[in-house]
Amino acid sequence: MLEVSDIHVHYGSVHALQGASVRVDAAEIVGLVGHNGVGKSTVLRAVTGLVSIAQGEIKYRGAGFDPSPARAIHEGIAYVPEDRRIFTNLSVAENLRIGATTLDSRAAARKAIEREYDRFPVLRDMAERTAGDLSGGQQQMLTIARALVAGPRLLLLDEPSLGLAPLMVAELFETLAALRHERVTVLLVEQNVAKTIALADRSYVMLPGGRVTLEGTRAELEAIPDFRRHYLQVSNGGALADG
Amino acid sequence: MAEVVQHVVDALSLGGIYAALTLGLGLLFSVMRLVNFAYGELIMAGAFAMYLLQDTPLLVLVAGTLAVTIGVALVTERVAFRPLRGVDPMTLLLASFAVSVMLQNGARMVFGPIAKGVAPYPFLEQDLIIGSVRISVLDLTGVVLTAALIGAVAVMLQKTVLGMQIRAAAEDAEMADLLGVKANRVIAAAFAIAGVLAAVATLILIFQQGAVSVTVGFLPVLIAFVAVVVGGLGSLPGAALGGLLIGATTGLLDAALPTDLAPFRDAFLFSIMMALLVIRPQGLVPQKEARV
Repeated sequence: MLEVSDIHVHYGSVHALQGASVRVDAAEIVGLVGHNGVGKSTVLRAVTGLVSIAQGEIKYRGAGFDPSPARAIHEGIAYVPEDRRIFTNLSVAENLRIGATTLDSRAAARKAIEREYDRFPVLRDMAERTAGDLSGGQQQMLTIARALVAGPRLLLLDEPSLGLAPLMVAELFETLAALRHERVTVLLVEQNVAKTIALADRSYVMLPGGRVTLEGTRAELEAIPDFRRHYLQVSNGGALADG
Repeated sequence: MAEVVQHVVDALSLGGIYAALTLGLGLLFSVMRLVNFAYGELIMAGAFAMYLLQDTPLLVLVAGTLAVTIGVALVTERVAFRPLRGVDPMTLLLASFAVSVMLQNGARMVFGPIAKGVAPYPFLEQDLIIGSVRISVLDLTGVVLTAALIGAVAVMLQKTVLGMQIRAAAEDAEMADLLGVKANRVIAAAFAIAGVLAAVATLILIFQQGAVSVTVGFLPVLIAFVAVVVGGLGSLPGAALGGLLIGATTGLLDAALPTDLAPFRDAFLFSIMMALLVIRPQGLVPQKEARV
């Protein structure tokens, strides 16, 4: 579905990604974990065309892909940014209608919005409320619903659990797990390593500069002592932390 | 009492003109972070259209003014501002200065530096007498027209798909783009609406002043910029409210200040606006922030 090969990204004089490679197969949930500032988010921003790549290649659905924000959404790539970026002055329903912009007809948009209300009933209750009045957790639900309403093939999620209370985080990961039944392909960037590797089919571990050093399923990664020590805060085989 | 009502109508008339102008400026700033100093030249272009069409029936003059103002707004968008989309706001600001200088000097070459007279249609100069209150048809038309226009723009922004897309792009153009909103269409629409708002303000303003010159748009737009900031940068209801407030305050100061203080009207006006900004630095109607 998505193949990012050896991409390089510069922010001014900072060489943020120095050869990042990630592959996501159709209907797969793939995690991308690593410490703060290693360039995980930049990979997603490169795929959506928010930053340009200086070197390397992105392939999408088997063909070369020259990313731009407009092209990404029309190709079925939806993006949930780290800072949510809901339209705070628009109502909840309007945020979802903007999310449905690429759908063919009003009827299709209505149906898709209903589907998201079923997924997040609290949004239906607050449909006419201004999105800026929602709590942080509700705003996160709205961001995900707004991305899903277009019926994407590939969902890019950037730190969706950031700033959420533990109960909300659990609910969020349940929602993401349920996406598996809809065969939505997901690339999830997260700092909550334990939950991410538990959810994902495979996960990549990224080091500063965006180089991927480890890749594997939960079991494969947990079997690596260095990984357990650095990312799961476990020593001497103790219980796994929840991130 | 009659005098008070007359002053209130005067103040509302000026307030309406500024509200229309600030809403247009605020719209462009919101949608593409453009502080458009060339907005004054939309007024100038409309004003010269009025000068050229002043002997035609009113309907032709109004249609011509609208067409010229919207046309200039769309051409500046396409030629000057679209290629610069996404650049630093400072670059956009400087580009708008360049557009302003070009348009102003182009007009100076065609029409010369001396102001030209535009006589209002006789019926606009008549007074309506309601009880003991005497109100000019032009002032009343100004209040009704600007109120109706701002109302129509508000309804368009709130109730139509295009309006919703403009509001979304105004808040976060990049995110709107990522969700499939067509930025070119939305921004061109915003320029066209800004053109309509400038045209209506121009019609009232020029009939009131009775003259046009190449610098006719400078002062109103400068004051409108202050109104945009007072209203809350990036907030459309704030822009309209700021414009209404600054226009109405100007009108009321005109009425209330004694003769020897009248020359210092603008000093009083801007002192009040500065005081407002000290109390509410974020403006009257600030944008809501996303929560974490």
